[in-house]
Amino acid sequence: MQDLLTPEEQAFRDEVRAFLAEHLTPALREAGRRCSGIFAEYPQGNDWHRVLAGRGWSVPQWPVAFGGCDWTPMQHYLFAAELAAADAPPRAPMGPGMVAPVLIAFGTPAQQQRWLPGIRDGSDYWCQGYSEPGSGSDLASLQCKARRDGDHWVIDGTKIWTTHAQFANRMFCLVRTSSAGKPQTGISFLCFDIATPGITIRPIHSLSGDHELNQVFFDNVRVPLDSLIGQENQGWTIAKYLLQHERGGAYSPSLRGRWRRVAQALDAAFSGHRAAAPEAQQLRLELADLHCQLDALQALELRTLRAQAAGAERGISPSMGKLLGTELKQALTALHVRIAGNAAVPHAPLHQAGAHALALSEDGLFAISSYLNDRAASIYAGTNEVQRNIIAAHLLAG
Amino acid sequence: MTAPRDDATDALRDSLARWLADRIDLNHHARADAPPAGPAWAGLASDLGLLGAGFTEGAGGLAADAAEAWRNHLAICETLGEWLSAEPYIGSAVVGGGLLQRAGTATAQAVLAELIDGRALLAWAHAEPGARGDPADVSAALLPGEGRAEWLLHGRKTAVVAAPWATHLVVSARRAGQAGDAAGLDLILLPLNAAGISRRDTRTLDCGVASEIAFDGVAVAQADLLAPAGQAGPAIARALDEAALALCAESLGTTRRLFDATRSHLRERQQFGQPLAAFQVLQHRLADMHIARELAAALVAAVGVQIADATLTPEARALAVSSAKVAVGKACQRVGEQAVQMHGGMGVTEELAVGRFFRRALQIERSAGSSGQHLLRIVSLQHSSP
Repeated sequence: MQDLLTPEEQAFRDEVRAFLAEHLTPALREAGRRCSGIFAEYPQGNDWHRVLAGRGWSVPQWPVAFGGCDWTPMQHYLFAAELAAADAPPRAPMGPGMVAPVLIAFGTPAQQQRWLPGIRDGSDYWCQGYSEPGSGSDLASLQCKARRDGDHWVIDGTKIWTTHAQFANRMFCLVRTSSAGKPQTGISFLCFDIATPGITIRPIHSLSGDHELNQVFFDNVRVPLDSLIGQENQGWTIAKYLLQHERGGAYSPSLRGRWRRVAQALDAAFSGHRAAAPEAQQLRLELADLHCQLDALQALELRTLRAQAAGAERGISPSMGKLLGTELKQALTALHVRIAGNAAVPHAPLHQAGAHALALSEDGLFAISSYLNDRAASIYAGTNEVQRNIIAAHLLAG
Repeated sequence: MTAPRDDATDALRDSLARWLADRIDLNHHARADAPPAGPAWAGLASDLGLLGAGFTEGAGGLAADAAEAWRNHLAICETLGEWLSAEPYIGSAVVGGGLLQRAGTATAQAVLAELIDGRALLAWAHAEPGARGDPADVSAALLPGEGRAEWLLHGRKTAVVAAPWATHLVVSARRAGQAGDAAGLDLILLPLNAAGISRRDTRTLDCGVASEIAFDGVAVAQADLLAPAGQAGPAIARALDEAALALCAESLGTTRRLFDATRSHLRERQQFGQPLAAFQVLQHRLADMHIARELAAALVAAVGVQIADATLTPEARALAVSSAKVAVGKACQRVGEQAVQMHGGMGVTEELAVGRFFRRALQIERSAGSSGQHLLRIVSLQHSSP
């Protein structure tokens, strides 16, 4: 799809491209290309975040007063699209995209001062304590407890699916501070340091073999009273506000880059004496269908961005976007695996592909690894079944 | 619904299942970086006397006829599928053993006897990097031996399953023509330790082990051939069809585990104050998983009867096997992906066996011709038939 850009938008895009040409190093681009999970490994992802911070572009979606950019929705979109097209490492959203909007909306000035600068410049790295072994889709049933004891909260319990907890130095966390009334009414939102005594982290290995996820255990963990964001027992409101941000990003910029990569893999798979194989035509039809789906998703996402900039309520847009984006991503990675054929049978770390006289296809290793990781896309951030329930409830209300 | 029962085959199935249950802990997950455990291959012969079950008495096996041999093969594959250990049976007994039985040479007969005793294990080295399921897409070359041997083998094979534990390789190669030509192909039996073979072992996506293998001037003699020189095309096509059908049988065991685990999970897991099984959308998914399995199981059993019929033409065999493989592919995809989805976060981790069964189901769908490749083969067969 040709974007019909204004001269100002074209100038902005060229400015982003020039910056990427100068500052996105080959090593960072390689890390971006090898990222088959949700976002890049911590060292490369955070290095890239610091480079962006140097230009003032690490947290463009924040209000200007906190270090954000005063961009139009289209500029935000173009920025994301250019980064994806250039293979920039996808950055972890837990700090900039999840806890920061909460701090800006609900935090005290002191809390904003304490935490926002470290998110902006990359000196802090956050992880998210939401899910528990018994509380997945039914998040409000969470049991991890915090009780007041003098000038501390004391936390006991466990959190699960804590992405990159092994790299994080800070954590935001939903805890149960009251058992009275409905489950939603007794939840509070805390922010604290991972280094606090009593916190232990157990790795959980994904189907792909990657270690992104963890289970975190809290045993008599004492954090200061001002770890609390907003009011005690007001955490559910904050939790839902954060989920809107978690589900609310645009998927089409990165999917566009992934589509191009799958298209290149298809051309490479059917060269030489295999060029006329009937299978090539079949796979090209599937790829074309995904291209059409991607155009439609991009149009919807741009329309949503513009509506939000004009002050419209988010409503069910985050749920629709999450559903469409994750299912399109799964379709793309499934097609990539079909294209890779027998090159996607070995399963080894990508950097080992060429480390032997009998080289493996790095593209094949990437295809299978992303397919396995992407099975989680319809589960995390609220399963797609839950998103459909949210959409249906909204449509049938009143 | 269960397949028609046969006493001898049932006894075999039950004794194999008990034997596997004593040896395999599905809940124990060997870390991906741990050295893989080799297959309990010799035990299948010494403990169970099972490796002869898929061969007729005339070939040194236990089955009265081809129909019983195939019933046994498929029952063994399905049972092994329930324990994630059907490899290397398919490559070694179904493909390798089938080729040895039909080759009829003295060498082949001797190795088949060793296979039935559990002393020989064959690995099927046919696929080459980039090949798309065309049986004749072979570039590995059998060249004149220049006085050192009758011929010299050069080339590269990919994803050779269970090669580290094999005693022999069965290799497809080409002495004439271009990749894609049905004529000019050979099948060669080589000891794994033959000079000029180099190997790279890798873990596979389904937790197995496969190897990249390079042949650099490996000496080949007339006695090593498993088919008439330069005319191995039909033998390769038949071996691939039989491998596909064996995989189909295995998948019934794989998807049964996935279905059972998912049904139990829906009954046990509570969210929103009720079991997941109370949610209608999940009830419907479970129904669809069951239906996909039943269709695949019925068709695999039917094709299992056809394949033992000596009058079956190669074209009819190909059509039947492709149809079964497509049904199995749908079941593997639907049951596998939904099992993971309905297990939620735990489904995408190494914490549960369901993740390993899912990866095996995925690999079955892609092995011995993907669903898409089999559909295209059906198209070409239907267009070429009168």
